[in-house]
Amino acid sequence: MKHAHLLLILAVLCTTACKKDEIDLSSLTSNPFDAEYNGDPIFAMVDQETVEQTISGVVQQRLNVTVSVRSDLFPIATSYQVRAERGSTTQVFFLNAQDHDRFVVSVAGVSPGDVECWSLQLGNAGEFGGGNDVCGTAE
Amino acid sequence: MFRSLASLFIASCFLPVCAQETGTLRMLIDPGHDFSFIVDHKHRMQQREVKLSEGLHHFSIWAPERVIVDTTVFVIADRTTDLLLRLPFSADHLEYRKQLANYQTKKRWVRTVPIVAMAGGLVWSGISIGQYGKAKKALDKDRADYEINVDPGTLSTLKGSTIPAHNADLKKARTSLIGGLAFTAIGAGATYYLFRLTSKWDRPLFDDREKVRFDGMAWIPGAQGGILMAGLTIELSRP
Repeated sequence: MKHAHLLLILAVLCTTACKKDEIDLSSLTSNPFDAEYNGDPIFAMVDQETVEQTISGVVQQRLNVTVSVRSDLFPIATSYQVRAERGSTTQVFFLNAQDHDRFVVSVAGVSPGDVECWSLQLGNAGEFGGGNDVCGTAE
Repeated sequence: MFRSLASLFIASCFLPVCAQETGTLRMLIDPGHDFSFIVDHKHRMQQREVKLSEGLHHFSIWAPERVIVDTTVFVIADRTTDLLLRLPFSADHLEYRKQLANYQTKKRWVRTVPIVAMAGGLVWSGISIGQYGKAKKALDKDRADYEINVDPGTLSTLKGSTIPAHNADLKKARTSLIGGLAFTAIGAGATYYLFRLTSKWDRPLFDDREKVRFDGMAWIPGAQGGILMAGLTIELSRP
Protein backbone atom coordinates (compact mmCIF):
# COMPACT_ATOMS: atom_id res chain seq x y z
CA MET A 1 0.00 0.00 0.00
CA LYS A 2 2.98 2.25 0.66
CA HIS A 3 4.02 1.84 -2.98
CA ALA A 4 0.54 2.80 -4.12
CA HIS A 5 0.76 6.00 -2.08
CA LEU A 6 4.14 6.78 -3.59
CA LEU A 7 2.82 6.28 -7.08
CA LEU A 8 -0.18 8.48 -6.32
CA ILE A 9 2.10 11.24 -5.03
CA LEU A 10 4.26 10.80 -8.13
CA ALA A 11 1.18 11.14 -10.35
CA VAL A 12 0.09 14.34 -8.59
CA LEU A 13 3.61 15.79 -8.79
CA CYS A 14 3.84 14.83 -12.42
CA THR A 15 0.49 16.44 -13.19
CA THR A 16 1.52 19.72 -11.62
CA ALA A 17 5.12 19.68 -12.85
CA CYS A 18 4.29 18.55 -16.37
CA LYS A 19 1.85 21.46 -16.86
CA LYS A 20 4.85 23.79 -16.93
CA ASP A 21 6.31 22.06 -19.93
CA GLU A 22 3.56 23.18 -22.27
CA ILE A 23 4.11 26.39 -24.22
CA ASP A 24 1.62 29.13 -23.48
CA LEU A 25 1.17 30.69 -26.89
CA SER A 26 -0.04 33.96 -25.39
CA SER A 27 3.35 34.35 -23.73
CA LEU A 28 5.24 34.02 -27.03
CA THR A 29 5.37 37.68 -28.00
CA SER A 30 9.02 38.54 -27.69
CA ASN A 31 10.13 38.09 -31.29
CA PRO A 32 9.81 41.34 -33.33
CA PHE A 33 9.21 39.27 -36.47
CA ASP A 34 6.12 37.74 -34.83
CA ALA A 35 2.86 39.43 -35.83
CA GLU A 36 1.81 39.22 -32.17
CA TYR A 37 4.97 40.96 -30.96
CA ASN A 38 4.26 42.86 -27.77
CA GLY A 39 7.61 44.27 -26.65
CA ASP A 40 9.41 47.57 -26.90
CA PRO A 41 8.62 49.66 -30.00
CA ILE A 42 10.65 48.52 -32.99
CA PHE A 43 10.40 51.76 -34.88
CA ALA A 44 11.05 55.25 -33.63
CA MET A 45 11.09 58.62 -35.31
CA VAL A 46 14.55 60.15 -35.12
CA ASP A 47 14.11 63.16 -37.39
CA GLN A 48 11.49 64.97 -39.37
CA GLU A 49 11.64 67.84 -41.84
CA THR A 50 9.21 69.60 -44.05
CA VAL A 51 10.61 70.55 -47.42
CA GLU A 52 9.17 72.49 -50.27
CA GLN A 53 9.07 70.85 -53.66
CA THR A 54 7.79 71.74 -57.08
CA ILE A 55 6.14 69.13 -59.18
CA SER A 56 4.85 70.12 -62.60
CA GLY A 57 5.04 73.77 -61.63
CA VAL A 58 3.06 73.22 -58.47
CA VAL A 59 4.79 74.04 -55.20
CA GLN A 60 3.90 71.83 -52.30
CA GLN A 61 5.15 70.81 -48.87
CA ARG A 62 6.57 67.37 -48.25
CA LEU A 63 7.05 65.84 -44.85
CA ASN A 64 10.02 63.52 -44.54
CA VAL A 65 10.23 61.41 -41.40
CA THR A 66 13.41 59.50 -40.66
CA VAL A 67 12.69 56.27 -38.81
CA SER A 68 15.19 54.12 -36.97
CA VAL A 69 14.79 50.43 -36.47
CA ARG A 70 15.69 48.80 -33.16
CA SER A 71 17.68 45.99 -34.72
CA ASP A 72 19.07 45.19 -31.29
CA LEU A 73 15.69 43.62 -30.60
CA PHE A 74 16.19 41.13 -33.42
CA PRO A 75 17.07 37.58 -32.41
CA ILE A 76 19.91 37.51 -34.96
CA ALA A 77 21.49 40.02 -37.32
CA THR A 78 19.66 39.88 -40.61
CA SER A 79 18.53 41.90 -43.56
CA TYR A 80 14.84 42.72 -43.34
CA GLN A 81 11.91 44.55 -44.82
CA VAL A 82 9.65 47.25 -43.48
CA ARG A 83 6.15 47.79 -44.70
CA ALA A 84 4.83 51.32 -44.22
CA GLU A 85 1.10 51.85 -44.57
CA ARG A 86 -0.58 55.16 -44.60
CA GLY A 87 -4.18 55.07 -45.65
CA SER A 88 -4.33 53.16 -48.86
CA THR A 89 -0.68 53.75 -49.63
CA THR A 90 1.74 50.97 -48.88
CA GLN A 91 5.49 51.18 -49.22
CA VAL A 92 8.00 48.42 -48.62
CA PHE A 93 11.62 49.13 -47.70
CA PHE A 94 14.37 46.56 -48.02
CA LEU A 95 17.08 47.27 -45.50
CA ASN A 96 20.43 45.73 -44.82
CA ALA A 97 23.60 46.55 -42.92
CA GLN A 98 24.49 49.47 -45.19
CA ASP A 99 21.29 51.25 -44.29
CA HIS A 100 22.27 51.56 -40.62
CA ASP A 101 18.71 50.64 -39.67
CA ARG A 102 17.29 53.90 -40.93
CA PHE A 103 14.83 54.76 -43.63
CA VAL A 104 12.67 57.74 -44.55
CA VAL A 105 8.95 57.84 -45.09
CA SER A 106 7.45 60.88 -46.70
CA VAL A 107 4.18 62.36 -47.72
CA ALA A 108 3.57 65.25 -50.09
CA GLY A 109 0.92 67.96 -49.95
CA VAL A 110 1.02 68.58 -46.26
CA SER A 111 0.23 71.79 -44.50
CA PRO A 112 2.02 73.07 -41.44
CA GLY A 113 0.72 71.42 -38.29
CA ASP A 114 -0.50 68.33 -40.09
CA VAL A 115 0.24 65.14 -38.20
CA GLU A 116 0.93 62.21 -40.47
CA CYS A 117 1.20 58.66 -39.21
CA TRP A 118 2.51 55.46 -40.73
CA SER A 119 1.78 51.98 -39.63
CA LEU A 120 5.12 50.17 -39.81
CA GLN A 121 5.65 46.44 -39.78
CA LEU A 122 8.85 44.47 -39.72
CA GLY A 123 9.11 41.64 -42.20
CA ASN A 124 11.14 39.08 -44.04
CA ALA A 125 10.62 36.93 -47.11
CA GLY A 126 7.43 38.72 -48.04
CA GLU A 127 5.73 38.17 -44.69
CA PHE A 128 5.35 40.78 -41.99
CA GLY A 129 5.36 40.60 -38.26
CA GLY A 130 5.44 43.06 -35.41
CA GLY A 131 5.53 46.80 -35.62
CA ASN A 132 4.19 50.06 -34.36
CA ASP A 133 3.01 53.44 -35.60
CA VAL A 134 5.31 56.37 -36.18
CA CYS A 135 4.04 59.92 -36.63
CA GLY A 136 5.51 63.19 -37.79
CA THR A 137 4.24 66.76 -37.78
CA ALA A 138 4.58 69.06 -40.77
CA GLU A 139 6.07 72.48 -40.15
CA MET B 1 11.89 -102.72 17.25
CA PHE B 2 14.28 -100.89 19.53
CA ARG B 3 16.28 -99.67 16.54
CA SER B 4 13.15 -98.37 14.90
CA LEU B 5 12.11 -96.51 18.02
CA ALA B 6 15.61 -95.06 18.38
CA SER B 7 15.56 -93.87 14.78
CA LEU B 8 12.16 -92.27 15.26
CA PHE B 9 13.39 -90.54 18.44
CA ILE B 10 16.45 -89.20 16.71
CA ALA B 11 14.36 -88.04 13.75
CA SER B 12 11.85 -86.35 16.02
CA CYS B 13 14.70 -84.51 17.72
CA PHE B 14 15.81 -83.08 14.39
CA LEU B 15 12.32 -82.13 13.12
CA PRO B 16 12.07 -78.80 14.97
CA VAL B 17 15.60 -77.95 13.76
CA CYS B 18 14.53 -78.55 10.20
CA ALA B 19 11.43 -76.32 10.69
CA GLN B 20 13.61 -73.41 11.89
CA GLU B 21 15.48 -73.20 8.62
CA THR B 22 15.25 -69.68 7.23
CA GLY B 23 15.36 -67.93 3.93
CA THR B 24 15.95 -64.29 3.10
CA LEU B 25 13.40 -62.07 1.47
CA ARG B 26 14.69 -58.97 -0.23
CA MET B 27 12.09 -56.22 -0.49
CA LEU B 28 12.33 -54.33 -3.77
CA ILE B 29 9.48 -51.95 -3.20
CA ASP B 30 8.55 -48.78 -5.02
CA PRO B 31 8.91 -46.32 -3.27
CA GLY B 32 12.43 -47.44 -2.50
CA HIS B 33 12.43 -45.82 0.93
CA ASP B 34 10.09 -45.23 3.81
CA PHE B 35 7.92 -48.28 3.36
CA SER B 36 6.74 -50.53 6.16
CA PHE B 37 5.26 -53.96 6.22
CA ILE B 38 3.54 -56.33 8.57
CA VAL B 39 4.47 -59.97 8.36
CA ASP B 40 1.84 -62.54 9.06
CA HIS B 41 -0.52 -59.93 10.58
CA LYS B 42 1.77 -59.55 13.59
CA HIS B 43 5.21 -58.11 13.12
CA ARG B 44 5.60 -54.60 11.82
CA MET B 45 8.96 -53.96 10.20
CA GLN B 46 10.78 -51.34 8.22
CA GLN B 47 13.79 -52.88 6.52
CA ARG B 48 14.89 -53.97 3.10
CA GLU B 49 15.73 -57.54 3.91
CA VAL B 50 14.07 -59.94 6.28
CA LYS B 51 14.94 -63.46 7.32
CA LEU B 52 11.93 -65.68 7.68
CA SER B 53 11.27 -69.29 8.28
CA GLU B 54 10.60 -71.34 5.22
CA GLY B 55 7.04 -71.32 4.09
CA LEU B 56 4.21 -69.08 3.04
CA HIS B 57 4.07 -65.69 4.68
CA HIS B 58 1.55 -62.94 4.48
CA PHE B 59 2.70 -59.38 3.93
CA SER B 60 0.81 -56.10 4.26
CA ILE B 61 3.03 -53.47 2.72
CA TRP B 62 2.46 -49.76 2.96
CA ALA B 63 4.28 -46.48 2.34
CA PRO B 64 3.17 -42.92 2.93
CA GLU B 65 0.77 -41.71 0.22
CA ARG B 66 0.38 -45.30 -1.06
CA VAL B 67 -2.25 -47.95 -0.55
CA ILE B 68 -1.70 -51.05 1.56
CA VAL B 69 -0.94 -54.04 -0.61
CA ASP B 70 -1.54 -57.49 0.81
CA THR B 71 0.39 -60.36 -0.68
CA THR B 72 1.77 -63.74 0.24
CA VAL B 73 5.29 -64.90 -0.42
CA PHE B 74 6.76 -68.36 -0.14
CA VAL B 75 10.15 -68.14 1.51
CA ILE B 76 12.58 -70.88 0.52
CA ALA B 77 15.19 -71.95 3.04
CA ASP B 78 18.76 -70.84 2.40
CA ARG B 79 17.70 -68.80 -0.57
CA THR B 80 17.28 -65.09 -1.16
CA THR B 81 13.98 -64.29 -2.74
CA ASP B 82 13.17 -60.92 -4.26
CA LEU B 83 9.79 -59.34 -3.69
CA LEU B 84 9.35 -56.82 -6.46
CA LEU B 85 6.34 -54.60 -5.92
CA ARG B 86 5.09 -51.16 -6.79
CA LEU B 87 2.70 -49.63 -4.28
CA PRO B 88 0.06 -47.58 -6.08
CA PHE B 89 -0.82 -44.11 -4.85
CA SER B 90 -3.91 -44.01 -2.70
CA ALA B 91 -7.10 -42.46 -4.04
CA ASP B 92 -6.94 -39.96 -1.17
CA HIS B 93 -3.48 -38.90 -2.20
CA LEU B 94 -4.47 -38.57 -5.84
CA GLU B 95 -7.42 -36.42 -4.77
CA TYR B 96 -5.13 -34.42 -2.48
CA ARG B 97 -2.68 -33.83 -5.31
CA LYS B 98 -5.51 -32.73 -7.55
CA GLN B 99 -6.79 -30.32 -4.90
CA LEU B 100 -3.26 -29.09 -4.23
CA ALA B 101 -2.66 -28.50 -7.94
CA ASN B 102 -5.96 -26.60 -8.17
CA TYR B 103 -5.05 -24.60 -5.09
CA GLN B 104 -1.59 -23.77 -6.40
CA THR B 105 -2.88 -22.89 -9.87
CA LYS B 106 -5.60 -20.65 -8.43
CA LYS B 107 -3.19 -19.00 -6.01
CA ARG B 108 -0.61 -18.51 -8.76
CA TRP B 109 -3.18 -16.91 -11.07
CA VAL B 110 -4.62 -14.67 -8.37
CA ARG B 111 -1.11 -13.49 -7.54
CA THR B 112 0.16 -13.30 -11.10
CA VAL B 113 -2.66 -11.29 -12.67
CA PRO B 114 -2.17 -8.13 -10.56
CA ILE B 115 1.61 -8.43 -10.95
CA VAL B 116 1.18 -8.61 -14.71
CA ALA B 117 -1.23 -5.64 -14.51
CA MET B 118 1.32 -3.72 -12.46
CA ALA B 119 4.09 -4.63 -14.89
CA GLY B 120 1.82 -3.56 -17.74
CA GLY B 121 1.20 -0.28 -15.91
CA LEU B 122 4.93 0.24 -15.52
CA VAL B 123 5.53 -0.48 -19.20
CA TRP B 124 2.65 1.86 -20.07
CA SER B 125 4.15 4.53 -17.80
CA GLY B 126 7.57 3.98 -19.32
CA ILE B 127 6.25 4.38 -22.86
CA SER B 128 4.30 7.48 -21.77
CA ILE B 129 7.42 8.96 -20.18
CA GLY B 130 9.22 8.36 -23.47
CA GLN B 131 6.42 10.04 -25.43
CA TYR B 132 6.30 12.86 -22.93
CA GLY B 133 10.05 13.40 -23.22
CA LYS B 134 9.78 13.39 -27.00
CA ALA B 135 6.96 15.95 -26.98
CA LYS B 136 8.82 18.10 -24.45
CA LYS B 137 11.95 17.97 -26.58
CA ALA B 138 9.91 19.04 -29.61
CA LEU B 139 8.43 21.94 -27.63
CA ASP B 140 11.86 22.99 -26.38
CA LYS B 141 13.02 23.04 -29.99
CA ASP B 142 9.92 25.06 -30.96
CA ARG B 143 10.68 27.56 -28.19
CA ALA B 144 14.29 27.84 -29.37
CA ASP B 145 13.08 28.22 -32.96
CA TYR B 146 10.77 31.00 -31.89
CA GLU B 147 13.58 32.79 -30.12
CA ILE B 148 15.92 32.83 -33.14
CA ASN B 149 13.59 32.84 -36.13
CA VAL B 150 13.40 35.94 -38.30
CA ASP B 151 10.81 34.72 -40.76
CA PRO B 152 7.29 35.89 -39.87
CA GLY B 153 5.79 33.17 -42.06
CA THR B 154 7.68 30.44 -40.21
CA LEU B 155 6.79 32.04 -36.89
CA SER B 156 3.15 32.11 -37.89
CA THR B 157 3.24 28.41 -38.80
CA LEU B 158 5.12 27.66 -35.59
CA LYS B 159 2.52 29.37 -33.45
CA GLY B 160 -0.45 28.44 -35.57
CA SER B 161 0.06 24.72 -35.98
CA THR B 162 3.43 23.31 -34.89
CA ILE B 163 3.38 24.35 -31.23
CA PRO B 164 -0.34 23.55 -30.72
CA ALA B 165 0.29 20.08 -32.20
CA HIS B 166 3.27 19.51 -29.91
CA ASN B 167 1.30 20.89 -26.96
CA ALA B 168 -1.44 18.38 -27.79
CA ASP B 169 1.18 15.59 -27.98
CA LEU B 170 2.51 16.62 -24.58
CA LYS B 171 -0.97 16.74 -23.09
CA LYS B 172 -1.78 13.33 -24.54
CA ALA B 173 1.49 11.89 -23.20
CA ARG B 174 0.80 13.42 -19.78
CA THR B 175 -2.71 11.98 -19.69
CA SER B 176 -1.29 8.64 -20.74
CA LEU B 177 1.41 8.88 -18.07
CA ILE B 178 -1.15 9.64 -15.37
CA GLY B 179 -3.20 6.70 -16.62
CA GLY B 180 -0.13 4.46 -16.57
CA LEU B 181 0.84 5.54 -13.05
CA ALA B 182 -2.73 5.12 -11.83
CA PHE B 183 -2.87 1.66 -13.39
CA THR B 184 0.48 0.80 -11.79
CA ALA B 185 -0.77 2.07 -8.42
CA ILE B 186 -3.95 0.04 -8.72
CA GLY B 187 -1.88 -2.98 -9.77
CA ALA B 188 0.45 -2.51 -6.81
CA GLY B 189 -2.50 -2.15 -4.43
CA ALA B 190 -4.20 -5.20 -5.89
CA THR B 191 -0.93 -7.16 -5.69
CA TYR B 192 -0.52 -6.25 -2.03
CA TYR B 193 -4.13 -7.01 -1.18
CA LEU B 194 -4.27 -10.30 -3.09
CA PHE B 195 -0.94 -11.48 -1.67
CA ARG B 196 -2.30 -10.87 1.80
CA LEU B 197 -5.60 -12.49 0.94
CA THR B 198 -4.07 -15.58 -0.66
CA SER B 199 -1.60 -16.01 2.19
CA LYS B 200 -4.63 -16.65 4.42
CA TRP B 201 -6.04 -19.32 2.14
CA ASP B 202 -6.03 -22.79 3.63
CA ARG B 203 -3.71 -25.13 1.81
CA PRO B 204 -5.26 -28.57 1.24
CA LEU B 205 -4.01 -31.10 3.77
CA PHE B 206 -3.41 -34.75 3.09
CA ASP B 207 -5.16 -37.05 5.47
CA ASP B 208 -3.46 -40.40 5.00
CA ARG B 209 -6.25 -42.76 5.94
CA GLU B 210 -4.24 -45.72 4.66
CA LYS B 211 -1.66 -44.96 7.35
CA VAL B 212 -4.35 -45.03 10.03
CA ARG B 213 -5.56 -48.32 8.69
CA PHE B 214 -2.02 -49.69 8.47
CA ASP B 215 -1.20 -48.54 12.02
CA GLY B 216 -4.24 -50.39 13.21
CA MET B 217 -3.12 -53.67 11.70
CA ALA B 218 -0.42 -54.32 14.29
CA TRP B 219 0.25 -52.95 17.72
CA ILE B 220 3.77 -51.83 18.48
CA PRO B 221 4.88 -50.17 21.68
CA GLY B 222 6.31 -46.66 21.41
CA ALA B 223 9.61 -45.46 22.90
CA GLN B 224 7.91 -44.92 26.26
CA GLY B 225 6.28 -48.30 26.16
CA GLY B 226 2.69 -48.61 25.11
CA ILE B 227 -0.76 -48.65 26.64
CA LEU B 228 -4.13 -49.60 25.35
CA MET B 229 -6.98 -47.24 26.17
CA ALA B 230 -10.68 -47.78 26.02
CA GLY B 231 -13.59 -45.46 26.64
CA LEU B 232 -16.97 -46.09 28.19
CA THR B 233 -19.94 -43.78 28.00
CA ILE B 234 -22.71 -44.13 30.53
CA GLU B 235 -26.00 -42.50 29.66
CA LEU B 236 -27.19 -40.83 32.86
CA SER B 237 -30.16 -38.96 31.63
CA ARG B 238 -33.53 -40.51 32.19
CA PRO B 239 -35.67 -41.29 29.21
